[in-house]
Amino acid sequence: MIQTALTLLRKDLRLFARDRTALFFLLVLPIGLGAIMGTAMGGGMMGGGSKARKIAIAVEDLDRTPRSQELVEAVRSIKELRVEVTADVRRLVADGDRAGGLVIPAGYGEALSSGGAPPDLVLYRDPAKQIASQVMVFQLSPVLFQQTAKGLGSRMMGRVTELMDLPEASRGAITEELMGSYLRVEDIMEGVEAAAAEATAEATAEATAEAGPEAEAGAEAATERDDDAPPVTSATEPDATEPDATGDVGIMEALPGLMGLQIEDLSPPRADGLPRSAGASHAFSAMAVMMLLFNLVAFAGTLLEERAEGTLDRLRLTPQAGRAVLLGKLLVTMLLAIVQLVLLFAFGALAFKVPVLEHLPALAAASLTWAFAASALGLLFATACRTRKQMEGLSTLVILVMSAVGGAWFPREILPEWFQTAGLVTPVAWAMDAFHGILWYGKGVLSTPELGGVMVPLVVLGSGGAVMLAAAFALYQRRFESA
Amino acid sequence: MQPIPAQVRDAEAEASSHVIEVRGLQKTFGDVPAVQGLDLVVHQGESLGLLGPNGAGKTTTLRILSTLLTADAGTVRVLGLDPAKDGPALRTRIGVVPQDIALYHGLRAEENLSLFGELSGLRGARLQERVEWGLETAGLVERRRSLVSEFSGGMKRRLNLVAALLHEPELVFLDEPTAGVDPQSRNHLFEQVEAIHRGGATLVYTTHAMGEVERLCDRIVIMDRGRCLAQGSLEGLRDLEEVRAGLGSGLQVEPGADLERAAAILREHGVGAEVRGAAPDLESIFLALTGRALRDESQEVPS
Repeated sequence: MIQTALTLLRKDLRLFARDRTALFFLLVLPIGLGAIMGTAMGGGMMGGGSKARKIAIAVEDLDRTPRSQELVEAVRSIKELRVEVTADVRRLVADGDRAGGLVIPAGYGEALSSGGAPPDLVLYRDPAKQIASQVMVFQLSPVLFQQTAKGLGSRMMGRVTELMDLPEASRGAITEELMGSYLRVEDIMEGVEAAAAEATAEATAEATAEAGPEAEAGAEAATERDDDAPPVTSATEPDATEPDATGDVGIMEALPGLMGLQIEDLSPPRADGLPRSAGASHAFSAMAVMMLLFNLVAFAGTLLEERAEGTLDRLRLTPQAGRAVLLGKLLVTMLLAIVQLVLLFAFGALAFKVPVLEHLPALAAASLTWAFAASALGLLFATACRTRKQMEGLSTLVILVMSAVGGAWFPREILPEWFQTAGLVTPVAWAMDAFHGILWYGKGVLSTPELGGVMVPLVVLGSGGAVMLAAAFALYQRRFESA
Repeated sequence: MQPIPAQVRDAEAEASSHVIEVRGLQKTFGDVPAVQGLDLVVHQGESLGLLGPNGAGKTTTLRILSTLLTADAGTVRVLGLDPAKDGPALRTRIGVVPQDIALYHGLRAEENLSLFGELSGLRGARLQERVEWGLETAGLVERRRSLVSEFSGGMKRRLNLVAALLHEPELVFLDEPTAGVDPQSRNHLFEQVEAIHRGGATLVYTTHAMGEVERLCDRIVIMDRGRCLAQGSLEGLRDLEEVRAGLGSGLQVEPGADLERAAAILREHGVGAEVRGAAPDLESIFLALTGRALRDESQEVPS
């Protein structure tokens, strides 16, 4: 029995080794997808480490002073950010074109120079790009700390000298001396402590000399109270270090307040007043893009099936078929695509409150364009391959890779920069931009003064679809009609 | 006006009766020559058998003649048209019964016929009339609403045949149309093909089954390795010297003669002789025992 089993084993191994599609799925596909996933998730392969990943941030300098320029340059120096100094950053973030936008308000430089409290920097964030937003805040933090340290220190010192009730004439001198020497927060804090101790000692000595032993006891009591007090914060700073209900203060929540940073998440409003869900919008956009591709390519593959079964020849032998065979395939795949998209979005609207009805015209335009482009891609696969099996292997790999780099699996902005650029070659990236732009950002087809439109992705998809269809027709003529 | 010489008139008349005229036809797939310099003429109303083993070039020739393939070299005229250039016009006048069951198995019998009829240019009442004719001819009126996937091999073959004839073509190519069917269905198919021929259509029938050619064809072309080895009527081929040389001898007596007496006379003259009944071929025995009626009740399990 063992001998028989081994004979059968040899038979199966021979068959398997000669099945290229099976080999492809067993060996190539998992490694290929693993490489993409690993790169996307921060692995070092193919230059995909965290250093290759850049978050796009727009900076708007309303202050235009040397101090604000200094801050802009410091932000530019952050390797993990791709910085663009521009105007109207709020709109850029609202449009989804940038993960975040930093605004340096007017008066920022003057306040820092004069030792006063500068107005808060404003950071606009796109809630649909949570990972990018968090990375951005984290990367900005050291720079913002350094740049605002002087102001923070000045304000802290001013408050200390007030508390110490030092003579007004000496307050400026003490502050200036300290701030001239220390730039880092830790140093400033050490300086603050030392200055406070020195000032306290001086004040105590003066008060003792003027008021006698009772006053000395009172001063000692005051010193004890100050020692127990929490680090001094400016009254004008946002009180971001306030504990939450659980009594904890998360570093990410505390950081902005410490840096003088006011964060505003730009969540697009909905006409029906319901909150938008970035996750649901992304999920349904991704399903609309990726699953449609799989289904349409599979359906377009019936062309190869018909060739193998002989029905394609029979169609070609009829006087009226000709290239209408391919056109018919295009129309039916488009129709199936539209049916699938309608069902998908109807389910999304009902079960997940995806704002489908609110953007129906734009969504219809995007669905039609994507149905056309995806159908054309399916026909291109079908006409480029010789057998259905070959097409299934090739199309699976291409669709999965396109979906990964095109942003259907995870947001494109978390991918390494060259991945993001490569993604733009795929129709998936443009289709995601269109659907997510409509469902999350609330964009229409055309731009408005408040919001950009999805015309560009739709034009790219439509043009790409036309090119793919032309290539499919050319291949059909060469490989099907005269073969 | 100059009078046209008699020999020119004869040549033109002969050419006009040529439904198919092929000169020096060549077709190669990669390095493999499929057809090598084939010359072929088919006359109006003729039933030509293209006979040859697998790989002889029969199907390739047929595909070129029927516009599905383009030739590498040579001239081809079919019904006065060039298949490579006049495809759409030619397709309205020819019918092709493919070797494969080229039907949509997920469609019903009548849906298949409607589809191919419509694509052949039939519309409205005419289309309906031809679909009815097809179902009747194929013996599938009762099964018109059945899916093709539920049909037996014979039923599929019959439908495969009539689907090519809906637009009443002048010239019909049949590429091994009886492959894999039971003798009843094969006999039914033969009868349909004979009916088409009687109706005036010219037939080109490719097969490697000798019996089919004997029964259906007026003239035979024997091909091998892409070349024509011989052509002519069955009698003409039998008279070929190389054929005669390879055959044994026999004694022919007139029909109705007293065979036992003839054998006795031969024996009296020292020639060994005995009377035996002619051995029928297996197909004849099978048909004699099981009858010639179609058997459709034994369906294949749908795949």
